[in-house]
Amino acid sequence: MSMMSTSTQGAKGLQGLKQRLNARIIGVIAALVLTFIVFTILEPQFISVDNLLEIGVQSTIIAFVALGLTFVIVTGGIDISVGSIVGLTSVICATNLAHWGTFITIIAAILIGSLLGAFNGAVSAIFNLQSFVVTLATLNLFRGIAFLYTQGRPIYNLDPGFREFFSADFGPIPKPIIFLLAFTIICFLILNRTRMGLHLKALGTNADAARRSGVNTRRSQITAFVLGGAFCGIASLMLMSRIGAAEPISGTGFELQAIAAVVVGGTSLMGGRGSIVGTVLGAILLGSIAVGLTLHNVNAFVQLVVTGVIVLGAVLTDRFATRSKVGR
Amino acid sequence: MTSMTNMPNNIIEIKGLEKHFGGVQALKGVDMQIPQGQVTAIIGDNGAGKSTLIKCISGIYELTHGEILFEGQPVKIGSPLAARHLGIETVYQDLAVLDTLSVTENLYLSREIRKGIWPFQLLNKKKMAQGAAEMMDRVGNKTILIDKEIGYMSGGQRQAVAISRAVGWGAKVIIFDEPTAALGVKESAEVANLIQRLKGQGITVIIISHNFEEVLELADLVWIMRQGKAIASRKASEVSGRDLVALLTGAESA
Amino acid sequence: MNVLTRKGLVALTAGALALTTIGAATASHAATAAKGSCAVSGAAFSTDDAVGGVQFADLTKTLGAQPKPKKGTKLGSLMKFLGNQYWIDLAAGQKTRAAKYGITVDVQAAASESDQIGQLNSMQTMLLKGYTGFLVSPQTNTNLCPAVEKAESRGKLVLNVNDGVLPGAKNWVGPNQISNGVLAAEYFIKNLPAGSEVANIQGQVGAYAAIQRTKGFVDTAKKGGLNVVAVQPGNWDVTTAQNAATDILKAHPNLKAFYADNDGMALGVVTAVGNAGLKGKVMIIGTDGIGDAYKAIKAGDLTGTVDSYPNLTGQVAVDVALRLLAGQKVPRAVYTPVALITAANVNAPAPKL
Ligand SMILES: Nc1ncnc2c1ncn2[C@@H]1O[C@H](COP(=O)(O)OP(=O)(O)O)[C@@H](O)[C@H]1O
Ligand SMILES: [Mg+2]
Repeated sequence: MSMMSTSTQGAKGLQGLKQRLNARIIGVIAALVLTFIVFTILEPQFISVDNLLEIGVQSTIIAFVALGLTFVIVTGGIDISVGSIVGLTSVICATNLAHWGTFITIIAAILIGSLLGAFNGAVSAIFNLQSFVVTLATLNLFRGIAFLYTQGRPIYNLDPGFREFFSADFGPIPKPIIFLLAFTIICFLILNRTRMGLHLKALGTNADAARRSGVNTRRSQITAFVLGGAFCGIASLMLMSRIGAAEPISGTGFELQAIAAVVVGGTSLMGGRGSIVGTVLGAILLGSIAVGLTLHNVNAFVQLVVTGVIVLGAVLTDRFATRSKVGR
Repeated sequence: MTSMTNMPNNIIEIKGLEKHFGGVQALKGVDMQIPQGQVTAIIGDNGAGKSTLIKCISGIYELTHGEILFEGQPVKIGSPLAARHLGIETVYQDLAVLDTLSVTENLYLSREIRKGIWPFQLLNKKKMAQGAAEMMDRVGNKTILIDKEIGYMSGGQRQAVAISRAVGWGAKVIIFDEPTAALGVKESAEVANLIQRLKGQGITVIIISHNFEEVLELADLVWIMRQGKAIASRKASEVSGRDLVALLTGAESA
Repeated sequence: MNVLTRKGLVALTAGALALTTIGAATASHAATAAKGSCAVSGAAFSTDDAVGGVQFADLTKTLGAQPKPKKGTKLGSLMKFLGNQYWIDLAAGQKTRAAKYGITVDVQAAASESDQIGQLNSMQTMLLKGYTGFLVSPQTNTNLCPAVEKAESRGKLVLNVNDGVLPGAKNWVGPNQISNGVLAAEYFIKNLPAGSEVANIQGQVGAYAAIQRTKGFVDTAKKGGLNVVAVQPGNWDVTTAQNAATDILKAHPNLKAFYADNDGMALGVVTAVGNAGLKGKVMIIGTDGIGDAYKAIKAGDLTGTVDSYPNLTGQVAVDVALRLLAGQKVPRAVYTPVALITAANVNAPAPKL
């Protein structure tokens, strides 16, 4: 009941909030700008329109996985089975694509992804288990089912119409980039402008307090995993259309790249705070670095090192830049 | 020595309430009546079971045994939301506010105002901001920045938000769990003031406190809890601080 | 829950519709893929059965001397994974050969054995750099296809090296897979009495190399009068192979020989045979010719390995690419040498170009 503050409500508070939120995104943008300057000096064609579009396309799949994962991480959970969800969803959809046609395959992909996510969320929520442990199990489980489903065999020669649907150019712009833009806006609205988003953040901040404030925490937790899974489903569609095939091994290692994108984007692994724009920028940052290093003909292993350094940098920046007593 | 058992105007009546946590029996058969429109205090040593009792009424804990009557009707308070629907609001000992959310978001959490048609329903930020300002006004706080994240605020401000959230929604019963334990003298006085005002509006108030002076000043009725049981109740006007200490420690039997 | 389900379905349909709207926006961009290395009509390309395939050594006879490369020729090479000795050797061969001609070859690879998208991304990016042509060893048969199609539509050379095999590969260089198994079987036929029991540990089920090597071994062994009692998958994996071999030895105590589709699995079989106390009584031949296999042959643990000389394969790939760039009509499949290495020739120098 402090009466000491003399400032008025409104404008000033809003500004402070904006400044704080932007601080995180400004960090990613700064890193992006630096990356662009360095690689443009090293390889002038880095800044060409072709290359910029290429960076966009190459970042899309991980960006989709990372968008969904942002919702999970905001609740303080984690889903390390995302790569396996992508693998299982894509082999099921690829196997049945000829039969189902494009539209049903799209629905099926989102549905299968959502169900696998729901399984992760439900097991974590109902048995009160750490989602890391649950998804560590399903990472193996889903991957194993994908192998059994296909008997280890890849599914080739996906319908060109389907591939065009997701991968062709729309005017001068590749469609994956348009998809990514559209879903970035949708995700931004979900996280920042809906009740669902608010409840996810509340859950990640303090589950017990959220519950006592009337949030159905169990449902929110499952919702987060369903969203995460649904976006893995969309990522599977992108992946299938991009390589024109699906393999039980598809998506291996996506979890690490996606978590890296989310963390670099300023979403706290502690939960409670998330940035959709940051996540997409994080994915693009990692994508740009991969493209830049390849253009500069640097060994693929260096990419792993650079990615590691950047994630470490992001985490340390976060640690020192936010002196918030809230600590997340 | 007035027993309230047979008075008809009890808004809450607790009968044989038991709550076990595994082997721990936090509540061992509590019988308690809360009169309508009055301020009831619950006192007791640390570990007596006060918070557990409050959480049973607020829908946090499921009862192991016993029942709760609300306005004379047996009710099952299965969730915090159910308690809210009955008109029971709680200001918890730890406040239960969400540090990364703004004042407005905290006030409206799970009671959001939305616009648009599903699935395109978005939060109506403008309406909620207006409402939040009014709610803070009502508890006499006109200075708080409603867009600010609550994690960056002082203890007093956070409590103002928690209280405002309980008061602002037209509750019939408001429960305060140790509201002044962490506050300074001035802020404690403000809480006391507020409780008086709520009583003036006909709202039933339950307050848990360690401060006997405060209890005797604010409350109409005092319940004493010891080792998971409600052992006695006294009219505040008929007891002294010393009497209460005696009851608490068991020097005087109920 | 009912409301939730309904809400979920609405959300699902909304998501699918959003995707469909954007996706359908360019129905006019009909597929106009020219017939390239990724286009298949009928069955996918089987390198072992290529019509008119030639041994690399015969190229000089049929096409003449190696042409001089144009100045500024720059090749881009995509290896599967440079954490695997086989591909490291193959890349080294490409670089040695390019250096000899004074041209450049830039080698890129995925960051892991199963990073198909990473490998595709690398090739897409390399397309921006104006390479004269590409040498590709895709992680799977099709993961590089979008980039291969793009390269070919721009008139760039794409030469498929070893495996995966592009489904409609225009030009391919690599070892004949079936001959690996044939060579192993022939050795057993020569060195074991007729009717002897033999077994095969197969590579990854469904992989072309695994199918062909096993087929070559089993068919030849049967024709040569051996008794093939077991074919078990080892999935290219040491431990899986060791377990499979242990089981086979239990079921067939009279077994006389194992052929494994790669050397890693062969070394797993060596352990299983040793554990069963049968060292020296059961012959074991692997495939690939990795360093550890050579060591095991010298130590007397391994009977032999069918070496496909990755370094040499890399060199041949550069030669063939330069012939193609010079406009020569090179047959679709060019085979690189394979040879059975046993204690008798383990110290002999590797073949040279
Ligand atoms: N969630 C819980 N799990 C186990 N024991 C609990 C739990 N909550 C409270 N208790 C125990 O129940 C008893 C009463 O606690 P509490 O209601 O917090 O007391 P008070 O608020 O009166 O200090 C204590 O012995 C406490 O340790
Ligand atoms: Mg307490």
